[in-house]
Amino acid sequence: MTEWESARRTEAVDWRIQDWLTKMAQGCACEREKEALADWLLEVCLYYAHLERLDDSPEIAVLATERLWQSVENGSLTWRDDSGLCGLMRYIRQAVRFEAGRHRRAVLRDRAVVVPLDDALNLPDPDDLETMVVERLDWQRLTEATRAAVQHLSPQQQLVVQLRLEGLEPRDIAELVLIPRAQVNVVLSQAYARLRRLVLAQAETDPALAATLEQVFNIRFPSEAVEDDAGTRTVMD
Amino acid sequence: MMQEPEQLWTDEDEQEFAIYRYAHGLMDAAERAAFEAWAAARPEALARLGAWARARCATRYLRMRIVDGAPRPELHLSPVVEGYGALELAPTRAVNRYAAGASQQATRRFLQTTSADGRVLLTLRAETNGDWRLTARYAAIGRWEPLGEDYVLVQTPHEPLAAPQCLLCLIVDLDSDAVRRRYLAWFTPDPDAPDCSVARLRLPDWHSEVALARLLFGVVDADAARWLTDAERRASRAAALDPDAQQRWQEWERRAPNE
Repeated sequence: MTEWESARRTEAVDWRIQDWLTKMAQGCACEREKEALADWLLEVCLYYAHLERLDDSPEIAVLATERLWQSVENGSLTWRDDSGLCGLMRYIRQAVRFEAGRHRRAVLRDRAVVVPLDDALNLPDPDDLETMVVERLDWQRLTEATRAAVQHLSPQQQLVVQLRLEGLEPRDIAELVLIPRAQVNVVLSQAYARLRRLVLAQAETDPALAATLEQVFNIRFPSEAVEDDAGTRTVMD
Repeated sequence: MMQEPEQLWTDEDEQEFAIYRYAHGLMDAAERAAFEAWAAARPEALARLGAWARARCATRYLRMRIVDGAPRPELHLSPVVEGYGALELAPTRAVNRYAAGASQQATRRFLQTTSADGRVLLTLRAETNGDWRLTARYAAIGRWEPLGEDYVLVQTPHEPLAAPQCLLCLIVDLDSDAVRRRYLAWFTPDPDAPDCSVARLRLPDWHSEVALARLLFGVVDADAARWLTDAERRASRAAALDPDAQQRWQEWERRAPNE
């Protein structure tokens, strides 16, 4: 896509939304245009609901879309040339936040009677060894080393790895970054291999990081390991 | 001359608009590359891209339908859904089979097809009481390809996919193009085919209410269950054949008691 084409497509998207809203205000939108506008509102509401990391994001997005529709019909939500698409999206974000607040209050009201039971069920288990072990690990050292290593990846590798860490499936990453589905796996695999090499190289000169790697992944460094009389290997600090 | 990425998207509106344009494929290649370099080091931009991807994930199968002047959420299927496919539900048809020079007429009691991406093999068997038994096999490590009248699994080891969650089936009336029935089936590990997941349903006979129908199917995430009506959810649960799938429905309903 050339720069001229991309600018034209962006303008077309703006114009399409503007056209739907104008026709709605004039009362001459056909069913198809109404549904297209409702679908667009839903997508933007879902975006903001996910961005706010709301519980029940899809429900809140649908409720916000239904409420925004009322605003479109009564003329309080129209296209304004001075604020454009960004102004419209700010308005939608406010609507999602407002709906999230209403939803949260309603849920709290409905669940008021079962909260004590929920609390009892969510009490920490004193015998949960896994949680105890995880809490005692030196994650900070490992996170810092990984973050530093990520800077050495290519921009595309960085983006793909970070999106995967955000919890996106490779299929969704492929659609977003516009690369084939299979290539996402290749990019991830190459990036992980490079990260592993970089972190291991760093651990060779950083005993604390080496100890963390051993603790978390059971990785030992042959150059620093010695074997005692009983054949047990230990890592030298 | 191309500007440095830091100089491109300075205020929040510009950043929001750039993220919107990137997520919707509205940037040219050079701008995409500059944007990727800019976004990779910004957690806020990554969170926004992630939010767009999640939003689009849901809108693949969820749309707003205008009912009595107001938009209402509705599950639907289109070719953008993973594992999308369609099967014409004509009445069971007779085929000729030839053996040792003789011919005999037999009624074909099953229909079979694969999804457009080759991931799902769908088999629909007619049962003697008029019901249908639907089996959908999802191949995470390969694709189903036709071989004569059968299908074989061709492995593609370089692109294994995550295990699927649910299969959405719509029975569409060909005359009116309206969706007559919606079923959601849970995928469970397939005991007969390693590396496959299977979803099984017993579908009640639909010929009494739809003469000519098309069955649309596609792989969706478990969130889709939120958008079934109570009646559709009850029918889907009643149609589930595997005990594991029944268990999944129980778990789902326990997590969503208000649904």
